[in-house]
Amino acid sequence: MACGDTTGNEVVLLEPTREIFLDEPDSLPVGMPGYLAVAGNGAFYLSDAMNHRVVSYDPRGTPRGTFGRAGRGPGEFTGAGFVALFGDTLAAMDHASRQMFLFDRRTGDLVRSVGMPGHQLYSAATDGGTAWLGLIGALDQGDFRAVVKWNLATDSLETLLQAPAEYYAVSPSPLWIFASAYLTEWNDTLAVLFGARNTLELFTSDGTLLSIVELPVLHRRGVPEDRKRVLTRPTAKEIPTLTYEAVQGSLSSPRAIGRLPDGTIAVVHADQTAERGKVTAQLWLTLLSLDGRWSCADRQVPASSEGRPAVAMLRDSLYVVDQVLLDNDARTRLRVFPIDDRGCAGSWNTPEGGS
Amino acid sequence: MRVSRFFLAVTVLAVLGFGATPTQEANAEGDWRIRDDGLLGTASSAAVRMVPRCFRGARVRSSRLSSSKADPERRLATHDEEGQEMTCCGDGPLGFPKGLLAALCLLSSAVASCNSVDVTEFDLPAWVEGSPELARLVKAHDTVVVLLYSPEACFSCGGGMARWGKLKKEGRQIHLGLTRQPTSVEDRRLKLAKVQFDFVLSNRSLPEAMDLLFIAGSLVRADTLAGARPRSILELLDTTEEYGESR
Repeated sequence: MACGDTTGNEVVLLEPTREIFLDEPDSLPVGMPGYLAVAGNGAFYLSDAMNHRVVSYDPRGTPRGTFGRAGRGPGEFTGAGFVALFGDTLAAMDHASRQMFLFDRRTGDLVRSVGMPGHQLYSAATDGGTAWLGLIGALDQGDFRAVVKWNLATDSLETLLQAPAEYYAVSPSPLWIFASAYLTEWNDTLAVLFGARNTLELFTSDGTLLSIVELPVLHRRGVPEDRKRVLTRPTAKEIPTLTYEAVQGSLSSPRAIGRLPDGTIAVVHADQTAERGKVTAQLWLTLLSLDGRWSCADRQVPASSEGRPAVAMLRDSLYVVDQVLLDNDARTRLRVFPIDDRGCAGSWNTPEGGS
Repeated sequence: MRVSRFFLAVTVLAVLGFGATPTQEANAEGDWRIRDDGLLGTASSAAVRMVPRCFRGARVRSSRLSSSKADPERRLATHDEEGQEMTCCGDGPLGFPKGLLAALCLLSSAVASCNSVDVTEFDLPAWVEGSPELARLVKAHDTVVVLLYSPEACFSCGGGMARWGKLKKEGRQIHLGLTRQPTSVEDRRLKLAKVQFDFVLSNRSLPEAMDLLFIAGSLVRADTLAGARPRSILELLDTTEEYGESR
């Protein structure tokens, strides 16, 4: 499906190959979808920022168990956030306490907690023994960590990458909400998307920079030239005069990154907006060859305008959870989109060739 | 004699005046938030106020409450863990009506002494009496926990509203009310959050300063509500019910 836009290019809408509505019994409603993780068998895990828990679902959307609950103790959430799967372990971040809770996926029991640096965790990849975590460091406190290496056996955390230099440039008052780092890892290679940058950066798994690939921008907002302005925290005097659009609506934020079986990198960006306090996000999928010569930019991933969707990638599928009102009945929906080159004008585009 | 003859604890948990915090990013920035009109507001302009000292998370020990006509300042004088006397029912900087302060202090004392709940009666604040929805609740139940939410505060992803809703579904005497009719956008968001409200206040005569939350002896800012435990209030409710049955 395609429709026109103001740039004169057609926006290609992805179409889901699968759509289910989650079973939400009275005891397990979904209040506000937060983060999503998908297992190889199609089961999925959704954090609920409103109900302070993570719920696991089977591939049909039937709840199978819960992880954590509201509170301030071990395994209890005050801000259920990022979730990831490490084998038989579900990792769930409580961004309020900056603890990563590790639950046994089968029993729901808390295995242990690991203190995490920074403000929030956004992304994780693992080779089994090591995990790489993309996060937002406590920039306002001089902590500029962006990617840490986590030894799963010892729980030791080693800083691998610092936030890009432009964040230092606005120190001591960076607006850290844009400093997210998203990553994926394979064969000792790390692909990292830094927030407020329009590039994909490749590193060795030890943090040595290999290459930087420019990301094409076709329909999404991209990143403004004046990044310093975007990254600088508004002053107390400016805040009452600023709109949400002026702050967060000025750029696209990464939402997910993955590597397809054929080696192509898939990236999801979100253009967020707000209407009377309700934040929504328009999602864009970009495919990119590792050498940067081929890309398929900014196909739109349709999602509900009722809130901000949760997004996850697994192999060549994109999973999106959002909420919709159907005849005044609130439902939570999972849609699966294939990640392939359909709708890419029949061929790949080169960045120089107008993509 | 059933406890209902004696015990009337009305706790009004009000969450007013908070700007919406619809995103974790915005919320997590801490010192600014998105207001309903789309502009940004500072936390200080939202609801950070001074609270009476004895409410600030202090563990309040039991105080004997024997007479409904007793001077609330005297009867609610109590002690902290170190034994220091804390008088918590004077007119605090919040400007609470004395009757409401008495209610709050009564509950704080009762919660701290759940094994021997002391009961009393007190005059309801005029604004409760003036609200038909609240007055009806108060007259219908021995112990009522009422949470009043401003519709825009319901979007807070760290809010505890859902938990209270869960307790309500479990049959507790917990009532969730909205301070005003939600806008159409808010109404959609509330439906998506699947939190059922019992009523919308028709008489908006709440004190302006009622934007702090009272839970079991502590005044808690609404944006930290996620960490507050309703357990103490549950204990109070349970104890009260058991007490009534045992009599």
